[in-house]
Amino acid sequence: MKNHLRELRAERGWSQAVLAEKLEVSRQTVNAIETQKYDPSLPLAFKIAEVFNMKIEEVFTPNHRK
Amino acid sequence: MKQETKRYLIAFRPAFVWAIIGLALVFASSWVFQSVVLSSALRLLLALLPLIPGGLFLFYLVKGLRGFDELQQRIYTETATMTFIVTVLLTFLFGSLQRAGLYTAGWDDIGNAMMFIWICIYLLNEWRYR
Repeated sequence: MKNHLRELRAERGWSQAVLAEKLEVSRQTVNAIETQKYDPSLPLAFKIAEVFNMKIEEVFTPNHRK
Repeated sequence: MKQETKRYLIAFRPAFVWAIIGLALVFASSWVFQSVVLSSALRLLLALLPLIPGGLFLFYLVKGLRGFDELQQRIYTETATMTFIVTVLLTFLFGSLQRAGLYTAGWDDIGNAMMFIWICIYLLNEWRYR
């Protein structure tokens, strides 16, 4: 699954640590999601979308979709 | 010290304490068995005593793990599963070597090997998600 986490975070000027704190996860988890080494669970994906005030499909896209 | 490392240490502190108490009891009971003559009932009691801190170690370890986020839980779950499989394979290997008359492993060897394997696999899994 692809995501735009890094771009969205950069737009808001948040560090990984700041985003991790908002999501109540570790900085390692934010980094792993950004580098697409780890796909978050559905509850965490919804929480990420909520933090960015966006729809989940605006943050995450399946690999087969461009 | 990193914030996350601190969090790990705080979450696992009670588990570490009970692990140290358990190990101390194992060593102390081994010393007593070699040095003092005791009745069978007392020997049994002393041999089973480390199970109490062992159980508390497990309880606080699981409690600490449940406080972690989903990626960290995944890393620990993968580590535990892989360690279990590697240890089972190693146990079979020790058994084969023993039947071949080449090496006789002690019970402690399995535990020590398991701890060493756990550390190696944990570091590997941590690295994978960096």
